[in-house]
Amino acid sequence: MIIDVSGIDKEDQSLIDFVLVDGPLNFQYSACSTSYRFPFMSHVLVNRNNTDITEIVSPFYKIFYDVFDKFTKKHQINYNKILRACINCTVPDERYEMMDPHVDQEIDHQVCIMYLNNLSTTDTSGATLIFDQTFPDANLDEVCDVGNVELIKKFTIKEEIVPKKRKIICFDGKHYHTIRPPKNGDYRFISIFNFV
Amino acid sequence: MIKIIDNFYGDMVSNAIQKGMLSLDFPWFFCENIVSKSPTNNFQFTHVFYKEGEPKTDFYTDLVTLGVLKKLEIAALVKIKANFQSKTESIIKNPLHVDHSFPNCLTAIYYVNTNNGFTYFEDGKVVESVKDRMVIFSSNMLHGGTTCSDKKYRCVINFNFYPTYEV
Repeated sequence: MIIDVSGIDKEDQSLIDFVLVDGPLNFQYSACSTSYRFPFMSHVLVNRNNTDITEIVSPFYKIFYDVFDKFTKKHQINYNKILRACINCTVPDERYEMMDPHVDQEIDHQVCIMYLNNLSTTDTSGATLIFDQTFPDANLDEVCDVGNVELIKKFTIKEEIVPKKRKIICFDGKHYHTIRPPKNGDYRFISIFNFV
Repeated sequence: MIKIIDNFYGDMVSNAIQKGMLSLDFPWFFCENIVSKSPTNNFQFTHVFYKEGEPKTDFYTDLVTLGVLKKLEIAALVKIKANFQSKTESIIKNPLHVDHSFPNCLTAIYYVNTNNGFTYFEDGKVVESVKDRMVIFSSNMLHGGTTCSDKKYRCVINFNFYPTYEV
């Protein structure tokens, strides 16, 4: 697990702020994230696909790819293919302490999360939770319904990452993970790269 | 004067509008503040259809094709913008404002979905968010929108225009 609190350099962050906030980067409403409980706004940079081709679908891809590439070089991470990349905006939801634990892909992969804004309320607002449980060893589905209390009791927290602007984390994608919903008044922007 | 028109488009078209605006093809843009540049402890997503004398999106054509110019008796458009706010735990009122102070200009708000949010006016009048409702009032009337707390989002389309009739 890598945590780099200044993974996004200031110049790149300024450019990201420019395109993201009152800027030209567009989002699409998605009624279903891990489930229909949690709608969100998303901007796809690289489409998920099962081929060897990295299918870039956004004119803003390079801004985020450059950050990803600098991060991987800095931490000597090798990669062959970006499986999927996107920018997600998660909005407040006070009904649940956490969203659905899930893995992003069924295959072996790494997850890189870039935190693009500061959340203003509490440290737990929008936090990333990474669990001890792994896929497929835990014999659970890719997405676990947070409404299933007995199922959720099986999860134990390995790491809790406070979202902080410019922070980048990278972890083994076999670990189930989720987020604590942002508190009222907050919103959470991240960019996610899944890669092998 | 506040004029309310319910069932503005009818079920088929209003469902198509809602579905289209929530589809993966429809772009929304993040705005950190609402109404003014000062922080409001809230945020929204917007989509500008028409501004500064020209369409700003391909979806403008779709909207016009639905006959909105004729139905609202629009002589000249000033701006068309959609607003999207996600659900909040309790209803948050956005600040009172006027869209602009052009004389004889009208504001119309089209409610894309039904929710417990509303449009409120300086004099205390309230117009509830009812799907396929259009409310029309003078653009210089102080008004404000809200979030909703009972549905996943509140979505409206705002029209600023000069009508074909005398105001």
